[in-house]
Amino acid sequence: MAKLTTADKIVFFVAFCGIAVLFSYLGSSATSDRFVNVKVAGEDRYIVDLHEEKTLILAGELGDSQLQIQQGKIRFIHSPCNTQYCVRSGWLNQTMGLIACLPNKISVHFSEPSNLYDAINF
Amino acid sequence: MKTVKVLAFTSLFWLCACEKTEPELAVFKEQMFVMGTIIDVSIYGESEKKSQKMFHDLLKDFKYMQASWSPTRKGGLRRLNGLIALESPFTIGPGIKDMIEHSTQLSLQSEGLFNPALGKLIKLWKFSQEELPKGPPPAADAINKILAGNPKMTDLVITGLILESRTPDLAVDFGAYAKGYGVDKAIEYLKSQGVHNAIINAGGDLRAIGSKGKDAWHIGIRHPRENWAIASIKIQADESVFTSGDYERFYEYEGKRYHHIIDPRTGYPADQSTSVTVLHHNAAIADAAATALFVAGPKDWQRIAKKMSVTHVMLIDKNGKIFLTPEMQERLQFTQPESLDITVVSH
Repeated sequence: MAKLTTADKIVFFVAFCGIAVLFSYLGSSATSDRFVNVKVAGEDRYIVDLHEEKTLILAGELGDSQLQIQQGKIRFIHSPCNTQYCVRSGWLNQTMGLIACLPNKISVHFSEPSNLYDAINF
Repeated sequence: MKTVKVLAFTSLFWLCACEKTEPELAVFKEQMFVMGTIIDVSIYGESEKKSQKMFHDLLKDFKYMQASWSPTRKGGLRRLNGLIALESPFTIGPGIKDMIEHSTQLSLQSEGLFNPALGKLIKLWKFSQEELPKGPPPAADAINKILAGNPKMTDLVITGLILESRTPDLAVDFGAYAKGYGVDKAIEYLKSQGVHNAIINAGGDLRAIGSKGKDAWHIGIRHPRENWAIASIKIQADESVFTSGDYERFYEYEGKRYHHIIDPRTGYPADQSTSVTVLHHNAAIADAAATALFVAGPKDWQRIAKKMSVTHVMLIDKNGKIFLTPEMQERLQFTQPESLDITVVSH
């Protein structure tokens, strides 16, 4: 087997660095469902890291809504609305696009646009 | 020689990497709470500043529409219904005149299954108010009394800008039409501003124009009973996707579920369909047709679709069975077709 020349070593080093950069670029798309934006009455209020387990209490139009963040997911666990659609809708996922309590004017959606769809019809 | 090969490989690798990292135009995305729902605005290919300005213009427009077309808020439609009850001719605005005339035409085509003249029935069920109703459904006597009056859109006679109703039993509710009409107006505005690529998504019902660069807009259609997309569709021109479903607004009383799509023939929620999705270039037509075909159910939807000139339809019945027109089948991509019971119905 021929011995590597200095030029070969430089080329391999450059290629290695290139691969590292490429992986960090591609890897960033894997974090697209890590952060969510929470809006109150259409205004951005919080960017929430789904890797930090906690309960978030937000004051909306009718009163306080509670959002649970657990194992990289988020859902409404309490809201003062009479419909409770927000609580019934369960954990947010990319197919749902967003979860919201319309009467309380609180919505949650992924910070990065969905890789799957540009909009959801329902 | 070996070094040359490695260099060639590395150069190729970098060329590919460079192509991947070319900056892509971002999609401007903002949302507003208005008309009792969330309206998402997506615009592609315009500057952030221009998009922001157009978004705020649209917000003002939708607030105006909300005030004008709500049957419960103080505004144009409530005034109209109040004057109809007085049983004498009165003047209406040109905007509401267009809506009445267009929705009358759609109501006739649907054989009255889409009937905005039944505002009193919707009010009786309390589905016109923003908060959901509680307690028992309306008494049968009260429902039958409204149905006995047989209010229909052709009872409204318009001469110029003068409107007269042939019956005081009529009240207009644009619940299955206003959202579509509003989406059409929003798209018209964006087009007037030179926008070629956008989506207006009003609480899950949308119209999309253009594309996202070289990619078509990709729309997911949510399963009526699950939190995943049953199918998806690609749009690269100017089309609306509207779905009427029994899961959108409902309440339960003594274990029974009552939803907001009322069958004008019985006065009770239509109970043969779970959802109907319509694809049409005009959002107002898609909105009205989705409601009419939901009410028509598995037995009559094909006939009504033909009369309304709607070719792209997906109906899911109460047992989860899916019926499609051949045109809709060509456009839809089902996510788990093997687990679904799908029938394509020819005209």
